[in-house]
Amino acid sequence: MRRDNCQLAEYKAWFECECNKLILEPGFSEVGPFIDSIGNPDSPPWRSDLAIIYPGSMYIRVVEYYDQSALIDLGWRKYFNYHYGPYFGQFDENGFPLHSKAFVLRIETDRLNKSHIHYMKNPEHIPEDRLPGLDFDSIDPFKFIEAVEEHRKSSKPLHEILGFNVEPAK
Amino acid sequence: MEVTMRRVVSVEDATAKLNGLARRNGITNPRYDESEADSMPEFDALEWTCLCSQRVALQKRESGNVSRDCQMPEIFRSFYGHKASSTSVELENTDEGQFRIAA
Repeated sequence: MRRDNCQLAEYKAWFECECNKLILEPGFSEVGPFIDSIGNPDSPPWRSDLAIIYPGSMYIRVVEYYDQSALIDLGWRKYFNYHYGPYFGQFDENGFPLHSKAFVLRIETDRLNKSHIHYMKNPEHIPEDRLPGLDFDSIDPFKFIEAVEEHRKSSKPLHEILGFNVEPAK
Repeated sequence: MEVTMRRVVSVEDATAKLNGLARRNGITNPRYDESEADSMPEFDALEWTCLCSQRVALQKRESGNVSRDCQMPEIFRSFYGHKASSTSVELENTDEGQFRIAA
């Protein structure tokens, strides 16, 4: 269950526990997980960042940004970005694959476009209201990673694994 | 997997990181505003947004610390008045007090 309205220590414990439950395809390498916080007192805002790099040319990167909630010193997930796509052999100073516009699936909530996805090489922003079955409130980094793992093993499309459809634009 | 905590400990620290991101994204004279993330790739945008609000939180914390250091707490003000620093009068020991008690 995704952590929300929580303290940083709770979030860290949850994140670590979920990481350790993951069963990943052999041969992967990881970057992170990192949590960037402002130290003591351990209050919001904070950001978590994790990449799983598969042998070959594909990787997952999950980033979450927690802001301060109305309840003092508790964090709530304001923006996030869960990305699965190819990388092209270049990495930043932390070891994360350099950003490219290529993707298989990216689920995100951001400042400009709110909740939306990019899917199947389609560069358009597909908004939440065209995605029945995809619950932006309950999706978390680990559900996303597990879905990608299943997709890689079974070749089943990611939308079927995650249980959503993409409706055409009206 | 073990989570690595990376601390952004001061306004300078946050600003230096923001400047690095701004350079990488071709932003000159950054205003350290969330809206500047709109022209950045997704992951940099999230980092920028987080650092901007961390910088504001650290600014508040640092200004809070400064005011705490300089101001006399309310409870002491009632004892000592509002003058935080004044030259004390040199005290002189006399037997006067003892005589009064004895009397």
